[in-house]
Amino acid sequence: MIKYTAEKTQVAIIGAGHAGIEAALACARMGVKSILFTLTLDLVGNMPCNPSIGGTGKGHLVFEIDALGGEMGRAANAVMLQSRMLNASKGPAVRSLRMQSDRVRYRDYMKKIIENTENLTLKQSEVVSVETENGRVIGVTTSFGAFYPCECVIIATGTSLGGRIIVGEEAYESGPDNTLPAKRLVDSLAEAGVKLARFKTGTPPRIHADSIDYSKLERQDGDTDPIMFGFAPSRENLLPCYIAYTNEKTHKIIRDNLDRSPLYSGVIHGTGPRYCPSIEDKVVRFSDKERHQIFIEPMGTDTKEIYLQGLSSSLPEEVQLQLIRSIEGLENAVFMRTAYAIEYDCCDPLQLKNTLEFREISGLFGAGQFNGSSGYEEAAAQGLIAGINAALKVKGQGEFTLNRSESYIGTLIDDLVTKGTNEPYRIMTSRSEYRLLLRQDNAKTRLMPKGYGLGLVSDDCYNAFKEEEEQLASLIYALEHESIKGGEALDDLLESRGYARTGAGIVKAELLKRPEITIYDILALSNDERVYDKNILARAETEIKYSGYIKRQLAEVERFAKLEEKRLPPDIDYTAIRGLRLEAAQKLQKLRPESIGRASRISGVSPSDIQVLLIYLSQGGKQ
Amino acid sequence: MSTIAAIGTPHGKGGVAMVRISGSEAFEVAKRVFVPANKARFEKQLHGSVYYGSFRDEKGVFDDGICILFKSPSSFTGEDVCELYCHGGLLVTQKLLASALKNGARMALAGEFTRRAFINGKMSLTQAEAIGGIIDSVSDKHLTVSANQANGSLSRALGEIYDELKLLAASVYAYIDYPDEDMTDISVPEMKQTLIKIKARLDRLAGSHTYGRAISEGIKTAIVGKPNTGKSSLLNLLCGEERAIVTDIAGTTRDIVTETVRLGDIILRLSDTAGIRESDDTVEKIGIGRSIGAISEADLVLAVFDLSRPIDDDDKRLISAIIESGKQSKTVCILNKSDIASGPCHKLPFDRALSISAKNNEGIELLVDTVGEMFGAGEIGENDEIIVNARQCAAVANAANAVGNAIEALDGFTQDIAGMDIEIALAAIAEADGRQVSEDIVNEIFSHFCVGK
Repeated sequence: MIKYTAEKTQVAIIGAGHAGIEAALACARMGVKSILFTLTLDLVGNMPCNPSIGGTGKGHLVFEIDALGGEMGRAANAVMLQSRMLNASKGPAVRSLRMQSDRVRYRDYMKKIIENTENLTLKQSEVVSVETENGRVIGVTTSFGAFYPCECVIIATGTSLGGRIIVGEEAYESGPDNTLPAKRLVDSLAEAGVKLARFKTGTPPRIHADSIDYSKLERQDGDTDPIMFGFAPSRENLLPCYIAYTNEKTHKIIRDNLDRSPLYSGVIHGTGPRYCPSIEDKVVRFSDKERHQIFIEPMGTDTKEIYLQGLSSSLPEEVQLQLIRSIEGLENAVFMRTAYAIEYDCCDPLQLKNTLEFREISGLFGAGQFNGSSGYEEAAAQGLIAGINAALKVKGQGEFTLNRSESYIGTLIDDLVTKGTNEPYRIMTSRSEYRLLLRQDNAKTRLMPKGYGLGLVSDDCYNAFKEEEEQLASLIYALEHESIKGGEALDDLLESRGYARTGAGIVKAELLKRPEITIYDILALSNDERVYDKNILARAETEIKYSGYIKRQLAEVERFAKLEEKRLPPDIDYTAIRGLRLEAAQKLQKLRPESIGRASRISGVSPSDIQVLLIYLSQGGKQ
Repeated sequence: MSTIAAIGTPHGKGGVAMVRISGSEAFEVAKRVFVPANKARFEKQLHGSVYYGSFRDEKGVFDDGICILFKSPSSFTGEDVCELYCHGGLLVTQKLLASALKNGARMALAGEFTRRAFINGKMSLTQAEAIGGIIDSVSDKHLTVSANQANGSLSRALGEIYDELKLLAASVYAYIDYPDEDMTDISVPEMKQTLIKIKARLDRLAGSHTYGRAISEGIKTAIVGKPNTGKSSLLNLLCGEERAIVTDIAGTTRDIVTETVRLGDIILRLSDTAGIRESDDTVEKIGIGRSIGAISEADLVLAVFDLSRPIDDDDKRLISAIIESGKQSKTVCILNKSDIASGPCHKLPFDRALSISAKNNEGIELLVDTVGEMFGAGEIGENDEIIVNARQCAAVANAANAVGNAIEALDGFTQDIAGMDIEIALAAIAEADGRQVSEDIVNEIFSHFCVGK
């Protein structure tokens, strides 16, 4: 109930998690007056699950967020505990950075940034209602009856919306980490016409560092000279991680207690992520596997809390303790937080446009887990795009979208709003058709000019980027146009790498294309006085070694663009097109894709339906 | 969509001919063209009913016949369809079509009936293509292969390969996307083994197109030899009543340029058959100038020599012409007149040589086997899939190529690249299979159909 009207604002963001933060910062930095609501000021930018940023595909997202002027990468760099490049040996397209992060310092970093951002107010309040009038947003109301008039609302409620925690037979209404659940907002959204779904996720237990016998575990250190998000200057690794394994005893404990798992007893109704299964799921589904890997991750430098990645569970507490203690090295584990499953409300993302605005409710945007995704990085990426678009809408400056061929962010959003999802969606490198073009190392080339154009990237940052680009271009030019003279030195190198001596000289780029030759070999043979940044060297090496494949993907991008350019008029009556199957016609009628390209990615629309649409278009839209 | 009409039966004289009309106005057009004997009954427009009556144009009634109505969606095209059966004269059929065109229908484009059937969900793309194959079949084998494909046998074979590749791609990506999961499900050498096996299967499928084309489109064939070696007897033998399917493509009966004949399961397209007859008739027109052109264009050369006479300069000139055109390996050396030959067999520089007696119809089976073997019949097992369609062959060859690249990528590059190549192979197979089709392909396919089918 509205008791008073608070100060007018332009954009209201509900939830100060990873999506809400990027959304609020983008709006404020684009000069739009914004307010960021959180249920508790002490958990701004909280990591209720793993204390790390990045991972496969996720690292790509963070590099892209960084290139567009988002905050997540800088925050992770600032509070890094350990950094590792995953898949270093599996190819340049799939190299992904993962950083262990200090959870407490991450929150402090983010809160400080927000508090010091112009145009942005941070407010602890529970938003209970989104007010709409004639299909457009007019403001939000808090539990204390304050009505905040605004033009756009971004919902970034994470797992707090209608949250319910489940541990064994125990269940109670709660947001993550025993915070308040946002209950009343659910009804308000349903009333405004938002179609809701119920998803489930979970988190593993935390134990005390001193109760672990590290001598029985494998130690895992970070990379030496670690790469940072945005290729910022390297910092030192502060803490190691460790690896432990479950065993047959652990699995037996789980199997013996399956009837007490809410996942199997039917207490949990929400759909959980296949990509991040609980330990009981893994044991049941992969019953022939003798052991599962457990990562032991530090939560920060000023805490003894340790995170057990891979042990996500909703079994009763006493069973959790038993199974942890069955693991070698954890026999005396002291419990600090119990693992839990959490159910929450989210929207069906098919209701959203690529800008993340609801098709039918002008000014209402969704971001993060509310849109059916999972993960901090996925949330931040959506927050950024929703924030940018809310700001552009307020300013009357059109829309900002990224497509599949230029970014993982675009891929993630296109997947969500075009295909929808029936489980929490996680980004993966395999989600992208254009992996080789969408690397971490060229994220700035792809996106920084756009971020700069939006006003989210500072002049200093942008100038430094331009300079790096020039260095790279001149290095590639040199490699393609300079030769190495034939002779002993070259032949010795060739022979040592298993190639035949030739006596002849060779263009540097041609030599570099040989699998066993690195850019450092070429530098050694070149007597080149210039000093290059290691990241620029690595990128030049990738661009040249993989040039044939890169060209091929570029050709595919062109084909993709052709289909994206085939526009479908917004007023087509799909139900009247002869030959479209009923399911396809209904889906198309509902989602109204802008192009043939998008139509082809809608689930339930088959290639033959696309053929019908193509023929329909080629006949000038007449039958 | 507009209402279309075309003649549905082959051109030429016959007992009965049919004009098919399809579209929302089909019944209206029929009413204007067809005068039913029983008007009241015709008014009911019952689906599938047969009505007797006469056909008319603006000058009046010109023939009598039958009209059948098929109501949408239970027709070939899925639209209202009317089939008019008149007497099979050229003039009367043309008149009936002209009358339909004057009364609200327009001339159907190439393949338009089938295309509408496809658009209206009456058939899948591969089925549509297979129907094209059935229509075009001139050999039993082609008919069998087309019928099998209409049933989905090639789809199944491609589907198996597709699934195997998909599984492989999934393993690669699981390994890449979950580096922490301690996954050792598939090693690089194992992956390579699987890929090599898949490549062999794709190569075999793509290779079957040589045979597939031989049994469908046919092989450009030149029959050459100096006068009086028996070229025209061989030609007559090939074209003989009992085994010939003759189509006259260009020209009149007097001036047949190309004849299509069946040799076993294989179709031969004989070029310049008129020339062969001519030069055999008139001994003065010696010379091999005319033959050289035919040789260089042919995919199969039947070089005829006379066993009863020694090899002379004309024979030798022919032999060097073949060698110079690079067609030695595509040549079958036919040593004719084995019935009257007494001397030793000629030794000629061809791998394939056989003695026949065209006059007595002896040795023709040898020719069937030899040509069959040249065009891959021997490599195709009874139940092997055969690709007759050039589009499918190109797609399968692309897939094989991509799998080859994936194998190489595993050696020189990294798994992410191999994954990319596997995805390209998957897309190519999906294309061959009709699961994934681009606009160009759809247009390409439907332009191959003849009007009225």
